[in-house]
Amino acid sequence: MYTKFLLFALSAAAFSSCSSSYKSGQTPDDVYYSPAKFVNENQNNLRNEAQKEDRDEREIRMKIRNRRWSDFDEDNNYYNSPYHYCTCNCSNYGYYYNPYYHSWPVYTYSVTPANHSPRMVNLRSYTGYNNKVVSATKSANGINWVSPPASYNNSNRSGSGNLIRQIFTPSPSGNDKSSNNTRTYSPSTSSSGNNNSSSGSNSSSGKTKRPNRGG
Amino acid sequence: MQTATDADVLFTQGHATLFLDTNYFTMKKYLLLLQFILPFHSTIFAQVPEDALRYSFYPQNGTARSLSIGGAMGSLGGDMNAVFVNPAGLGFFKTSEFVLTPGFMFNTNKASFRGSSSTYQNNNFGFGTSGLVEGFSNSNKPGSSIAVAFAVTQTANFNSIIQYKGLNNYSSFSEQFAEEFAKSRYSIDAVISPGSPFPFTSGPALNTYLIDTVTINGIQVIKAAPEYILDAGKALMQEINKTTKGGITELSLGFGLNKKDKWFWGGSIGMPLINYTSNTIFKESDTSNNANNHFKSFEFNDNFTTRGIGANIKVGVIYRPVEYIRLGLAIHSPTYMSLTDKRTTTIATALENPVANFNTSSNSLTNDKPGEVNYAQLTPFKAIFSASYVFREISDVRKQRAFITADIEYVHHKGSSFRTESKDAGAQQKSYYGMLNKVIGDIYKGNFNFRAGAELKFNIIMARLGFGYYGNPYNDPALKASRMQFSGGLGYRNKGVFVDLTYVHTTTTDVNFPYRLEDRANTYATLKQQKGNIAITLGFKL
Repeated sequence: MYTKFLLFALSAAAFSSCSSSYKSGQTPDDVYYSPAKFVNENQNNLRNEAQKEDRDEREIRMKIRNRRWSDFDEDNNYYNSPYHYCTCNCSNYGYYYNPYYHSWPVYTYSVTPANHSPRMVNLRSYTGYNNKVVSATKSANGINWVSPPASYNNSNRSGSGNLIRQIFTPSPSGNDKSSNNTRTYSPSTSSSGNNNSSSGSNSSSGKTKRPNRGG
Repeated sequence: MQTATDADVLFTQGHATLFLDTNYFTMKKYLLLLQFILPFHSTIFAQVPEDALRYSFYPQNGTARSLSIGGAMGSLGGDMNAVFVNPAGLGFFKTSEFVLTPGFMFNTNKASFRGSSSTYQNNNFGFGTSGLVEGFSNSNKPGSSIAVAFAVTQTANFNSIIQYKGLNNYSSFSEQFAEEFAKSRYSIDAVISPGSPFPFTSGPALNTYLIDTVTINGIQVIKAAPEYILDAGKALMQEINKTTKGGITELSLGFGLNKKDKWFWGGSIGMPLINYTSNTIFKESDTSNNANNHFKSFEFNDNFTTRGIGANIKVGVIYRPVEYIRLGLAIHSPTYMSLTDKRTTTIATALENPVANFNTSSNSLTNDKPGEVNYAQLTPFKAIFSASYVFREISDVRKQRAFITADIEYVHHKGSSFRTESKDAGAQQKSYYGMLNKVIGDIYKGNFNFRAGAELKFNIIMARLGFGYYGNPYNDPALKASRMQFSGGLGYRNKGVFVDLTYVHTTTTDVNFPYRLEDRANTYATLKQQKGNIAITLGFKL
């Protein structure tokens, strides 16, 4: 965080020194009116010439300091680059100076993650909600509800009326009234199903077993 | 909500595809087919509708000046933030300037869940619009000019902590795992083994006995351990703690063109960088004093990250029919985002009768690596209509007096969509994304946002006020969500330097569903966030 503040302070100091042209006179407010700032063609040409002279002088100094730059030309010829990788009919001078050169092949490859399914959702669950809160009281057995949960109206399924957790309390007659919504355990034969009970996995063939439930 | 034809494939993961039970034999045939045509670790896809709203329902950020006038920059121009709202506003620049906008936010989140309230506070740094704009005038064409800007801003800040808890005597978080597993028709072995089709949810839940098989009246069903508490008429204490971090940082290159000080045209290319991290801890515990009712507590820990990059285009026009009046129109294209999600979950379960504790991480089912998925998301498009009245558009700053401005913005939230980025995507993958996009279209809607602000100018000192209202993106009127902003600020502009200081107070209401079930009425928390934002813009005329 200190780095950010330091960066901000340095930037502010740097730019405040640049804004000398408006230090005297009015500071324009572009929301209301922006005064024209015409570009002077002659000034531009002079600036370009000065930049070119600077560039030429830098090249001469580089060539004097290091002969590798002696062939450097303004057209930045590829074969004159000190980083050029020579393949045939040319000297290998400069080859080992290439900071990106490796004497052995370098392979880069990505590792495939073990799973590509981070999230999923039952899209049928995106309708119906009931935030009705019934009052609760504390008793010796814990928290009890004054109003029974029957006050909930399940609007998830139109025409189904009140569903008071019926899926786990089938009717005494044994008729399953909610065949579309039961959470019955009926694995498909194609999904290598074993009807495991709560005592843990009884599978063989190298499948992972659940921990012993204990007791 | 869904018709029988389009609900054939309801949710899909791995090589598991969940079907309606309406045609059991057809389902078995498809399952058999999928077993052969899909590799064990196919490239998978799967997002949730809430992801769509995260990248579209947020207030406008900007420079301190634009924030202080409610963010209403659709027709004003002459401010760096125009590049992110209406690039035509860049056309007003004939000068050059550089701006920096650091900020600080302090949040207070209040949540109400099933009659209980919770409050949590967190603070964080942020930044508004910063960058450089250069205006060019041509002496041969008085009144006409062009401007180029390069700017960066934090378009969305995800730093937040949501905490709430409450008593629930109707449903359990763990039932979503039971529902998922039962409908999948996978065997227990398949789900708890490495390569599980549900390594983040049902897999750990089965392995820790949070859900298990039980025979009732001769029928073997999947039951979650907390349901023993609910069946006895008792309550579960549910508690959620969700910490989110990150934001969207957008880089933008904008261009503005001024035609005779009457028509202003502009466009910008934006490159948002997305960084989102969330850690969700959900706890559920028995509130009864019965130590033999099979369930004591469980904790679900979900670590999730999204990283990515996007691209968008903004175009706009501002028209000055007469002096003082400015009318603006801007269109923001949908942002195409290429995203990568990573996820790891852990479930710890404490059972009673017999007493036992279990703990399983998704890593045990995913070769010790987090799950990873690549996909593309399109955010909704926006349209902004705006008008401004600028009193005294004159070069002498001592005679510039005031402005008032207002924006109306339409955001097509229901237009968000997802698609796979995998070339090997099969029909069922595309079917899932098709269904997901349909659900997004059903539960969200297009909304209107309003922003307005005004400034009074006293030579080199300015005073500003602003207001913003962001409407409800949910289609169902029972779900209340909105965002209201009040802002005020001061500005100083002299000797080539300008400083703007702003305070924005935002009140956000929203809903949060801790979990969703298909065969139960879903319960949700109502959230109310109070956020203060202090922003300062330091600018330099160049």
